[in-house]
Amino acid sequence: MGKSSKDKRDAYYRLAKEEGWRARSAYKLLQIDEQFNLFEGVTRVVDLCAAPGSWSQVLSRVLIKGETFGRAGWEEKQKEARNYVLGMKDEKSQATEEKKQIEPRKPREGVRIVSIDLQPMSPLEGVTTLRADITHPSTIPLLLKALDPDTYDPSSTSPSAPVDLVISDGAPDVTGLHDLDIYVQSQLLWAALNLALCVLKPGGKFVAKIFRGKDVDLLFAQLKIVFDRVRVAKPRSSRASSIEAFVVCEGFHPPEGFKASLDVPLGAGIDLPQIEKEAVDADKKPSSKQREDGAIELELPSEDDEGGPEGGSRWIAPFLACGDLSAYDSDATYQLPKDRVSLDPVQPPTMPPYKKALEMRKLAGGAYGKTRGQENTSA
Amino acid sequence: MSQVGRHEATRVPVTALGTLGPLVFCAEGPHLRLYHRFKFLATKQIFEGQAIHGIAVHAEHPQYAFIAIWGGCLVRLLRIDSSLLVGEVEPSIFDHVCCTAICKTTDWLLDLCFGPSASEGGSSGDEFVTCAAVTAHDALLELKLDHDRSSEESHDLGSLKVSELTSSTRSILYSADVLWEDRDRILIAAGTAFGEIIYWSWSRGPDGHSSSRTHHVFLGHEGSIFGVEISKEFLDISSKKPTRLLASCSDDRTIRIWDVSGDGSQLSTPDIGSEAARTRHTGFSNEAIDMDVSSAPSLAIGWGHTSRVWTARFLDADVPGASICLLSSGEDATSRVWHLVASIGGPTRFDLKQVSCAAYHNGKNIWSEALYEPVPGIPYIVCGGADSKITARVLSSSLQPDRQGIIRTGEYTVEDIVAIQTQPHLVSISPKSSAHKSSKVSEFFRNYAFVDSETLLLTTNSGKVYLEKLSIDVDDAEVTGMISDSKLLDEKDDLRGYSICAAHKTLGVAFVAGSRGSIYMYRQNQPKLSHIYSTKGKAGSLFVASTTSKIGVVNLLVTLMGQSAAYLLSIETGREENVLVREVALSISESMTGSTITSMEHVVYDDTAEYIFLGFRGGSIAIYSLTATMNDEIQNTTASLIRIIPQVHGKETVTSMMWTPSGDNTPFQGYLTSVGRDSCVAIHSVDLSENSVAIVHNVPLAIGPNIEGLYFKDSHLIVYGFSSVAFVQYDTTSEEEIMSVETGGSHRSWAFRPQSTEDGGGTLVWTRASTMHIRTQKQPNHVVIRSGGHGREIKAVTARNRTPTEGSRQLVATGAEDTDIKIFEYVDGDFVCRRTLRKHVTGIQHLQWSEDGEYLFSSGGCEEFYVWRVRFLPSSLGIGVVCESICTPKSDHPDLRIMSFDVQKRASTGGYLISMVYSDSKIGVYSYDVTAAQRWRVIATGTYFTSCLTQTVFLPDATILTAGTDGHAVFWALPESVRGPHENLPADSQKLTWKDPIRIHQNASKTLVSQLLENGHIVVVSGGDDGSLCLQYIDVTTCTARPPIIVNRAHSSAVTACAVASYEVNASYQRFYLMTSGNDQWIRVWEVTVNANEGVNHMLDIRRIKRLKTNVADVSSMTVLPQRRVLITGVGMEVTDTSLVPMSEAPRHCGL
Repeated sequence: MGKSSKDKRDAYYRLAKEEGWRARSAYKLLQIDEQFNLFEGVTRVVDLCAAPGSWSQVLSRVLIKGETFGRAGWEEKQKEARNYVLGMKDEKSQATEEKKQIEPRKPREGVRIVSIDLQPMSPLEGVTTLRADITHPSTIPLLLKALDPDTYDPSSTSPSAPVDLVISDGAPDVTGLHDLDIYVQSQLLWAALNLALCVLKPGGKFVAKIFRGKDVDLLFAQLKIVFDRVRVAKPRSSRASSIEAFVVCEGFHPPEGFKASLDVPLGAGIDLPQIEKEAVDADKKPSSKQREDGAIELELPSEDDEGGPEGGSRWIAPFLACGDLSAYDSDATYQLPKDRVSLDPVQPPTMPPYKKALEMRKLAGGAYGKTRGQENTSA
Repeated sequence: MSQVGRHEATRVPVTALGTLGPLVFCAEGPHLRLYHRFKFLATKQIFEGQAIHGIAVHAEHPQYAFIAIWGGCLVRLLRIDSSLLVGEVEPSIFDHVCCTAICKTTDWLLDLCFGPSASEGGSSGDEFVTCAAVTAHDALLELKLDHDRSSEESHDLGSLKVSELTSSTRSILYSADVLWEDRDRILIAAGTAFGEIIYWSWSRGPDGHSSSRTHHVFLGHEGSIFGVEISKEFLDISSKKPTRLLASCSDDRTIRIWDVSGDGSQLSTPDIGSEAARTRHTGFSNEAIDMDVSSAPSLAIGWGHTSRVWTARFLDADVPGASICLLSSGEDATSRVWHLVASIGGPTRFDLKQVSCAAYHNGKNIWSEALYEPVPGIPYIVCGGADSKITARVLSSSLQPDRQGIIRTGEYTVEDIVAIQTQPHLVSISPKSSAHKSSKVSEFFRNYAFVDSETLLLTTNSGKVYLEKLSIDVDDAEVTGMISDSKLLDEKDDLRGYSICAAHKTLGVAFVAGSRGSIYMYRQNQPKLSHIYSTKGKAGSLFVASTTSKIGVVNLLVTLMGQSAAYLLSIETGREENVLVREVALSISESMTGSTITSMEHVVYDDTAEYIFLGFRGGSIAIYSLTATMNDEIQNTTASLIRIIPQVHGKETVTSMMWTPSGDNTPFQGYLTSVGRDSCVAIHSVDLSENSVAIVHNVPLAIGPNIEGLYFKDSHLIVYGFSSVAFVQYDTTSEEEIMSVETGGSHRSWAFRPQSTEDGGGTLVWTRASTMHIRTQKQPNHVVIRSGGHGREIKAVTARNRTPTEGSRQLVATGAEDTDIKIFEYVDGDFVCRRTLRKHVTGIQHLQWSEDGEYLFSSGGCEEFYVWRVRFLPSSLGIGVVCESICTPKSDHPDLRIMSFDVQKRASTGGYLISMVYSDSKIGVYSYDVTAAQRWRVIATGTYFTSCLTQTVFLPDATILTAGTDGHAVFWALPESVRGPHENLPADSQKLTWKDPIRIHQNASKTLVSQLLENGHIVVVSGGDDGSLCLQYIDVTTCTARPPIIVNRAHSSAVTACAVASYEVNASYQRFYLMTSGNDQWIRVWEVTVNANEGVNHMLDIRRIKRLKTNVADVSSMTVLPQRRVLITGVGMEVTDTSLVPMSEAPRHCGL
């Protein structure tokens, strides 16, 4: 697909090029921030599986340069029009606007941003990039040193000034075997969480990509053990057709006596101790509340564990759609002006592993139909 | 296992295969299916919801066969008594099989292998069973059967004990292979997500001390390694050294071979306590960046797959010239066979040459493969795909195409034919003149006709007619060529430079015509041709009718070149002398049909009436009635054109036709099936006595475009013809290729004779580069063990309402990401695909049947909206489908999607009202009436905002409800002026505006259904991407909704499918059962009760009743079949019987 037709199909792809983002995924983090005020009071951040770096770019532009990302004027107008005709007061957006007034964003003091990926990444202002494996114990001292290059004490195993926020947008090579893909994604999440458990300060936050597929409620139940509040967020820039979402965990509170270590990582086979069972059991009673518009919202209790080797403690995290309703809809088709010039991407796409195969085919004489299997699966 | 919520039918990707003698074990979700010599035997559910990813078979034990089945972190072991496998295997076999409990390991298992039998340890009959398994984090596990806990009576095999031989590394693997070299040594190959292959071993010393070593780390692949396999050790022919190879395949579309002979001891380092080695396992290595990594180059690289390669494995096969053979399969849904041959001047020591490629699966992904010997000595390759299909093909044909197995080929020049002649006395007709003439006329093959299955008549440019005896018995190993005997039948002056021929299918007669109008006939066992007729000009073509009006009378149609006339000759063939009994002139209406006749079909009944169908090059079909009149005691038959069916195959040639009478009593009512060079099969319902014609079926096939012939075999419609490079024989009923021959495209000179006895195949003769090629195939090129479905995710499903006249036949339509629509029939708890409709070029968004089941409507991207007319035809013709109309695109967006639509029949005036919602936030309302001059009228259009609309549904009183990605539902009222009949609609479309928005979700509504209540009001149920379920009670008198009831966190994922399973009304309540599902693969059952008290603000109560698992991933849609059976679609399809789910026992959740 050429860049021009992708422009038409994907509003955020287009917008990312216009606003200078390395990838459209930048909007996912921005919209999560809109909803959760993620960066409030945050100065020390670790970005995992960071390449090509659009989330680090958000951190750099928000925390270091102090930029704000107000929506374009027409979007504001759209929102006003919508609220007028829908006759609804958008409490949420008022709240964020108020917050914006109280707390204007400007370059912050003592900001440390460390980005880690296995793949090399172009440098970003104010961001320390590390090429390392997030699952490896040796990465922890590297990370601690990068966070506090001047005060780092190699003999200490815990960071001198712990991290406020750990984020991860890592995604696997999707094969099409759904349970395998979900498993590999959960392993990426566990890898990110294991590292976060080692560096996060109590009360810290953790945001990671999650696939809302089979057994995701088992994963939610585990996360609920180490965080006060676990919610699952879907930014409007993430397509409704995708099972991708982001788990937003706030209020890190490691269980009493729990010692995190990458030598004994949680995940494959090792679960967190079920000491905070009541945290999950809090939902055991049904409740209902009436909204202002008269609608009744029911919250049903978690169902009982079904038991057996395939069962486990299940809990469904509350869902929050992020990004204002008037923001671009990643599923919609937009009318573009006829004279529009299609921009080049900020970062050209990485070389696909099958590039050589395509060249070989060409050499072999071009007897080569475009196959359905050829589509690039990356977002 | 509980019968509540039983899975009645599951069709999901086939993710693992295993074989044991004549048995095939096949994994479909958590179910293990057993097939015996290609026939289905039994199913056993192994896990509750976990899909099976691997099957290993241990057949070395004298008394038992052991089957290990694993998936995710789970393993189960089955033990089958060998006595059960002797002779005919009973379908009840699983009742006698012993199983272990489900064993849960700590990590996802990538491979598992049985250890060698412990002969020294075994004392009693029950021996030690051990397996080794590799996890997704490269840990080696040992699994042992814990005998103490087994008991013979209950078929309980106890449990499996797991111990970790080595611990996990941190980096995740995509593939692994484990091979037990001997009791104390295990070899492991592991493929990482970063293009590395780690080859390591574990061994147990005599003191019981164990150690592991890394022998090789191979780099070179770009992208993840999806498959690795370690070969057996074998003796290399050239070096005479024991050799072991490793095969790998990857994201980069290549297959690579590596040498892992010996221990690689010079490279190996003990891993114990070595942090460096551990780092080695986890880091990302890239040759371009990390120059320090040492790695041996690969021995060979194979290119061929057009997308990712999932598996590459060694084949134990003995092929001359290639000591090593490989089998690979991948995302491109092909299975390929490769030979490893010494390279001549290539960059690697060896070359991987692809020798065959089988593409018998739909869409994407072959997930599993195995070698299989249904009968000893004839191995097959079995493949299982994402399309839930299992196919098998003969291994030897794949190893050496054209040489072995089911195929025999031959290639001959004219000189070869002359040389084969065994009866030289016949050549002496006029040897001198013939030699003299052939010096002037260049000699080549002109034309071919099959007199019978083993006799080929051919004409040459010099006017010679030969008769070739063919050896089509491919099993006869003694015979090497195709032609066993050849004789010169005749030689005619007027066949020089031009000749055509044709033969009757069963009577053993053939006709030859030349440039001057002479027509000759050959009859089986006659010594030479006999002249039967002379036309007044050059014969254009000959068509022999398959019917016979009297015994032995053949009807031959002769067309004249450049003339608008054709002659139907009736020839009595039974007598010694051939008698022309009738001659009928047909005049061609050139202006209406064109003059070139390309096919003919003849219908006759009791000599009372007779009809001729002529197919033309321009795509139309003409029907002639033959009438006999007595004139001066001479019977004179005249033909009159009674009807022309225009553009049956567009503007393309009508190549073949066949008449099927409706029944014995109505010989002139029937169906005319035709094929043409437009890839299509068309069926017309024709009443010859009434002279009425209606098209009842017209769909393109997956092959083509040049379909040349058709015939029926065992109620299957078989066609054959040419695609761009190959001749293809294809079963349109089962939608399977039977035979495919690379001919280089379509040819002028060819003939095909289908096998009459076997399941398929036949003999093809064609001219290419002035030589005659002959190829015979005795059976289909592959066996379908389990028939398939869509090869990609199903996006929409809808069940057809059953009409009383059709009995209990249940049809469902599915539309998928592969752009196909399939019509399945639900028969005996399984789905049989009856038709595939290939017209959409984008993934299907929505499907809906009309209330009466006569129409199917479909929508997709690019504003595609089609109206399909669907009928049941007599059994051999299947289900008739015609694309009756297309709603033409209105916008200039090239990729605007029609997200959903709703269809309402106009009760009084006929036709349909259709509301469509688009991805650009627009709504369009159309009126469709097939009988009107202007079929489509745009009634009204409207725009919501800019967000995508995803749902639309008609409410009573011409109101429409829509919902979209912004989580709001709104109402649109159609103006009074557009509620009239189709023809009275105003010329201009009206502008619609929406009102009364209600927030039903936080974001997109993914599924929406409406249920009409007995009181006339409506409940609309919507499932959201936010995981919630929203119920709206809509008062039809005011067309307003009561405040909705929203169940938050109804599912842990988006709610993508919902359906109302049953609706009950009695004196005290109205209630219905609602089924919801989503990507979390749960089905939740809800009971919705309508409050009797009208005054209550909230009219509905909802209770959560039950949850059930589904094996369908990526659930997209749901529909209800009779008896509360729920059909869920997504990656595959599954029917769950919810009729036994107990209702009304759960507490109420909403009583406001």
